[in-house]
Amino acid sequence: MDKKNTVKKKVSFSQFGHYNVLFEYFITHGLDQEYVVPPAITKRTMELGNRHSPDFVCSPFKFTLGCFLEAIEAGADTLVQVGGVVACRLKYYGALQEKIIKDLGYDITFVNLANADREHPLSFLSLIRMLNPDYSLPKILHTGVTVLAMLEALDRTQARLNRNVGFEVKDGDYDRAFGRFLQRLRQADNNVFAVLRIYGRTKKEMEAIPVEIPDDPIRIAMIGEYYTVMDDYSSHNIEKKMAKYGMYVERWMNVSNTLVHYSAPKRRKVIKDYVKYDMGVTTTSNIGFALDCAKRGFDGIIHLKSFGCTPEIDAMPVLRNICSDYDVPILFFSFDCQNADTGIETRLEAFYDMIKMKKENGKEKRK
Amino acid sequence: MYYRNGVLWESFFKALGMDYVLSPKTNKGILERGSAVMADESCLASKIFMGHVVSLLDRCDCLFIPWLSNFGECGINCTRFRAFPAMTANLFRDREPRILTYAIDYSGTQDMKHAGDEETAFVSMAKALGKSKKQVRLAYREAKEKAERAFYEQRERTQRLADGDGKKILMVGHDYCICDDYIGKPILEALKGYGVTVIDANHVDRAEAQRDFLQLSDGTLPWIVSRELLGGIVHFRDRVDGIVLLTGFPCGPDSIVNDVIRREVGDMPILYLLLDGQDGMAGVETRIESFIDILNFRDMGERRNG
Repeated sequence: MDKKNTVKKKVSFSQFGHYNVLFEYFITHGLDQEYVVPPAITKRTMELGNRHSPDFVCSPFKFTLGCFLEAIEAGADTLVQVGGVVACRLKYYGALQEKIIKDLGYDITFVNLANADREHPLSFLSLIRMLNPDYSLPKILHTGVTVLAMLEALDRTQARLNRNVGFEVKDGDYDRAFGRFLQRLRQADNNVFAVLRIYGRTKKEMEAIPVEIPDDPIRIAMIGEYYTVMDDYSSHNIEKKMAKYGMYVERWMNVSNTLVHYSAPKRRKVIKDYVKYDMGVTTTSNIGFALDCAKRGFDGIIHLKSFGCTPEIDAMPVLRNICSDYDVPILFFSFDCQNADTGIETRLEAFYDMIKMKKENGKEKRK
Repeated sequence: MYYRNGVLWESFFKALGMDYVLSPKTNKGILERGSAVMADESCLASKIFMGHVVSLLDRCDCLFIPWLSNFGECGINCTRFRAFPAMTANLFRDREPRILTYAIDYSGTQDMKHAGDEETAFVSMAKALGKSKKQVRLAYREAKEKAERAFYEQRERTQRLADGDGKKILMVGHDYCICDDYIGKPILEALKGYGVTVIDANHVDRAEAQRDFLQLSDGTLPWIVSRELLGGIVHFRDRVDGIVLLTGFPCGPDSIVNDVIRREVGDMPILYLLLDGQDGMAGVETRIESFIDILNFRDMGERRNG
């Protein structure tokens, strides 16, 4: 059979923050397959996912399922779901989602990365074979390195955006620069240097954007459950909303920090006064970051999660103790598939007002 | 987990000649006290757990809360079992509870010093208990043997029930729900009131279940208890007339596993009872009654057709 005549697979992956760009790059450049960009998450995505999901499964399940169904409508025939490293429900998402999609009558290939075994790297190859039977390992590794560089660049750029977007003089400057950055990544040459050049160029562009940063801005640490924290739609764009109030928002959690730069033993040591035995999944990193920010004198902590997220619920008593020890206010949000922003905005506004008053009172006392 | 490890724990402390206090049977007060300290959206079973902790705080020197993470190849526990010791310590910080714990972490994924099997984990408590390692090891072995025997006998009893005549229902749920005096027992009683024999899906050979569950799910199913329950369904499904799924709201593992069961088991009536600590049995009773009716109608239909 002539390899060149084989039809390319139309691969898709669920929306998740902006990481789709990286995934797309890996599929098109590393595996030579076509990539179907899943439509942006909308109310319809959510409702679609919600309708076919179990009742009280956490919302990322519903969102990713909705994304898959919309990607199929857009022509995808191969879906990829993650899994693996974590010990929460995510590991079992793929198995049920595959069943749901097939029970709905769609004939698709479902590549479930939870089937790979961390301790046996070769098991990944059998999954890659599902995506492209004639894969070329050197090409995959080469693209893998490029994508890693992109990941780092993306996370750093996003962090820069989050730090400054609240103080931009002209609305939308940062978003436009970020949009250009993503577009450049999509078209980048397949090597690390090209990525570095793009990163440098965007950095310069962003630094040139005029900002007005007050002397002592309100600083907020954002923590919470993996998906909800990173995905703008599921978190109701809360990061942006806070920025619009003129708050400085710091979020440690992103893919590169958790997968590449993270050292669990170190964080465990930091929080040992609060947690002697690990509480699982992302709690150690979240509690550690919260404690770190509390010590650095942050003005508030905001904790986001999807409804019923077990590990994050378990972390709440610890976070409360940290906050009472360091006198830092904390606001807990729990999201499911609801749409209305009003309630969230009201709570956020009240939180902001409270912190502002607290800060001013503190200043007066010091005088 | 008491219902899974109770014999082991009790015999262990008995063998060491130590006093222990058991919390009372679950009742409304315990659930209320637990709900008061736990976050609203915690699962029913964890609220009950914290209620029990509250009831014990003043009655003992030390709380025994094991840290049960994973069983290597056999699967993991829900993350909440990892969180209990730290959660208790943080929720009741003012009262400075002393917590005795051991860590089950076969795969050592947490880089804790305790990686190893159950025996290693028990021996690690020796210093905290003020006993020598040898004493603890012997006590553990004795207790383990008793626990294995007790579980074997329980399995035999359940197997006899399953092989017997009459209408039989397979109860699928975590044993801390099924065996709980406040949330599970009333349902068992109601079922028995209709003359139905209840088979507990937890009572299967665990090694066998680890193989059998693959008939209903792929190997990515992480939770050990869910695996065993699916194994229980495979083991008993030819012998029962229907399945009752019993879940405390909003249980993480069950939220996904129940849907898998529903899709995979196929031609078998399933009653899905979701408990959220409401008072009043009327709603549950109605549903059980109609479920029994369905089973009876099915029987009649089969007889007519057969």
